[in-house]
Amino acid sequence: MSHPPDLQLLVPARAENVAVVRHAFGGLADALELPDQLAADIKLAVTEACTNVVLHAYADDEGPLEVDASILDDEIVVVVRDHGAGIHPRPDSPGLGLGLPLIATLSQSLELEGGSADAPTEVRMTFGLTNGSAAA
Amino acid sequence: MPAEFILRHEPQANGRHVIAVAGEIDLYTAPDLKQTLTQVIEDGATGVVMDLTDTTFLDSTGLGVLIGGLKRLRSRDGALAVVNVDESIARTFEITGLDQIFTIRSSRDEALAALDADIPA
Repeated sequence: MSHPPDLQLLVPARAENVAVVRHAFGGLADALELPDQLAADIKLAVTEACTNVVLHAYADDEGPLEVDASILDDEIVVVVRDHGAGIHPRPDSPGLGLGLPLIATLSQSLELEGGSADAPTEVRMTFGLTNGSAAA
Repeated sequence: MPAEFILRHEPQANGRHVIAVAGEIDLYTAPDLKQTLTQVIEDGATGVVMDLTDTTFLDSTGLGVLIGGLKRLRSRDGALAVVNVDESIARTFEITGLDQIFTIRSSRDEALAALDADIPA
């Protein structure tokens, strides 16, 4: 993507910081005057992606949680990135396994990238901007 | 500012229990909810209403806590009902299909009445 991010966040991947990211997107949605349902969808999808990073990326260690958002003409692209273990099935997962299916349902498109030793794991979510009020 | 996370356990006169949650339920706050719900059930409750009237956000972590509580209660011939009036939270239940699993009502009185119907006499 050549468009530079309109919002960039870098926080330690801790449970308390998931809300920090979510509230930043709440502020972005307010600024863009997004419809309530779209704003709620984005906040939930971003929360689920960040929760996955906190729960799965760094095992018992701590690492960075990076979130970018780019506002384009008719869509907003959100990338949640970590430098951890990648996305793998985990039999001992503490969650219900609903995170990625929720993101896939809430977003217009979902792409998973990287996760190898030399590439970060990226969850790339695209949301359509339906009311045309967004401005970069 | 986001609403402060507050949990209230309100025992009812008929032996039912209401847990009211204000604020956001996510990875950070869900453990407190799990602890409260687990304690209420371990103390003998069989009918629990989870009142989300003042809940402003619910993610899959919170849903996991509710599922865990429901399973524990059903194993004791109990029941759990949810009070919800928030459209976004309702959508989360619907997307996950959990609106078919939980008894969800729009008021506490309706939820308490639903418990009476769900729990064997």
